Amino acid sequence: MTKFEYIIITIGNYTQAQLNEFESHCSNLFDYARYNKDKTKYLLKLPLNKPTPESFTPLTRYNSNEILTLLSSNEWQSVDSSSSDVSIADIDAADAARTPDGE
Amino acid sequence: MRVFAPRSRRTPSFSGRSVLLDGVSDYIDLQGGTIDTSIRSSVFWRPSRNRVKTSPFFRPASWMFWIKVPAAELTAIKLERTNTGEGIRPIIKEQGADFTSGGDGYTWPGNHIWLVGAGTDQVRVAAGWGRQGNATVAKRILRYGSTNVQADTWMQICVAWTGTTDQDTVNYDPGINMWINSYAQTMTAFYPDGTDSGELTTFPLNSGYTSGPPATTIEASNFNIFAGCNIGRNLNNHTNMYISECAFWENYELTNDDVTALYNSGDALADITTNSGNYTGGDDIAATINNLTFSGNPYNNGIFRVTDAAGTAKDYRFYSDGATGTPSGYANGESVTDSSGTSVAVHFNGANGTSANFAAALTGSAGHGGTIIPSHPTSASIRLTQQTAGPTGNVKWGIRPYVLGSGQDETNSSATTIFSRFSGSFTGGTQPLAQWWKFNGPATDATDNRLQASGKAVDSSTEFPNTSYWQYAWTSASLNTEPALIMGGTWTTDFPTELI
Repeated sequence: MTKFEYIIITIGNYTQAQLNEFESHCSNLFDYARYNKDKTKYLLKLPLNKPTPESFTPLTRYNSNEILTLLSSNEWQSVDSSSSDVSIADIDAADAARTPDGE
Repeated sequence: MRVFAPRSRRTPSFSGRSVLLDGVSDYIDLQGGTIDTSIRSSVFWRPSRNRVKTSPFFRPASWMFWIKVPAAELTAIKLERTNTGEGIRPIIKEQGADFTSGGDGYTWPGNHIWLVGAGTDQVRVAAGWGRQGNATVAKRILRYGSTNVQADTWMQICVAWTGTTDQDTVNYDPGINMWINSYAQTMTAFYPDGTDSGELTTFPLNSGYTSGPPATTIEASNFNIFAGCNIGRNLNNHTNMYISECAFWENYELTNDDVTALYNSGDALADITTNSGNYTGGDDIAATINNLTFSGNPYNNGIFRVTDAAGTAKDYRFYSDGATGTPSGYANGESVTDSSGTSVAVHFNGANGTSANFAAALTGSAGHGGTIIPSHPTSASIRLTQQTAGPTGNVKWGIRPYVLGSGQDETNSSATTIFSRFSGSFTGGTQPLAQWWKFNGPATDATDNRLQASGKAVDSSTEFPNTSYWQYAWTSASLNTEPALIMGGTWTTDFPTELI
């Protein structure tokens, strides 16, 4: 089975082309990756069975236990990192539109 | 800041495999919240599952998962429970589990299933509805089962939301049934903060969830389609587990026999889309139209067209001749032909008489006979069950106002007076049909290799136009087959067949 390591990308440090290259070698996408509170850092998952370009060399690689410890820090908590979720505003808007005999 | 455009990721279907979620960032997104009015559906209108069982707006729902949890994950859950009082990992959660709106009196009751630390040395499976989180524990129901989760072992988990039967504050019944490896579970209240927060004494959540019709604005809202519904993730809480054979049944309550058949002695039933042995939750489900209730007098000569599972349509025509309820020359169920066409006679003489006579007509000489079985939950209501099951029949099964000789005419005031949900003369309406959503195919699009949800939906644009609240939400409903997306999970050949 494929083994993985995790890397954290500070997106402000890279060009769009570099970000695309990171993503192309990882098994998850920026769009659905976990990110920190201020959305400056993203967590990517790197398979170990494929070669990676030199751009990965400076990046710290974490195993599962290490990354879980890091993610438990305040910087990475209390953020809903899914871009697919519906916002509270959406729900509030629908709530306001409810009919009196509805809910 | 970079803006990431939504994209999809192509992944294969389960088909004898499982997905390993890493507990760090992986999850499966059931693709809710798609802003596409063409696929709107009331199927996942969550509060319908949490209502009082007798509510006409209650609809059951069921989930099945096969999971295998690594020992390290169980250890982590138990440790967390010991250290913080929490110890909870999501198997699946719907978005409503996380949000409140409108203050304390309002909660979005998304359904959810978890792995939880039960004490310091056990992990159990919990299921519930209402909000999950520390802040508003009083707005949540969460109960865990009686079987310990075994490390590195495939386990079948089935949960059915069956409707509450008792909502007093002492004997509150959450209406949740759970099975582990086909064994029915004894459910115990779970408090994520580790202490009895008294949440079970604050129900009902909100009267709106226990009475009254659903709000059409909510039903029609697209975020109810598996919105924010993730497997293996709740916000930043991820679960390390293998998962396979996920299935969702809408408007169907799994039974002991179903679950046993699905478990199949540990070798997960290969195809849930057809009945097999004692399993009756496949697509061979006889559709029932419940809760058609009459009040007052139907319009004289008003007509229902009833189409059975075989596609046989008959027009039932109401005749009023006053209190005796006996139109001269015709008996209930007798064929009547006049200048406008042929129909089946139905007497009426007030609400109670209408219900009974309509049932008699259905089984009369010119009626549908054995293909539709009427019954009387109350004297002024009627329940119709088709006897010819099957997906084609279910889709065709319907009842609607009809104008003989000129085709359907919902705008005809006479017809809508009889049928309309809103007019007061005829209440209730058709119920949605049982459906399954299996994330294991058969793929609805053979060319698409993603994990797919195979759904069945009623084409309301032709079968149930604007006839009730429920059908309103089915407007333009097509097969709801948005593929689930696997966000970083790993496909494995591990599969729940090893328990034989």
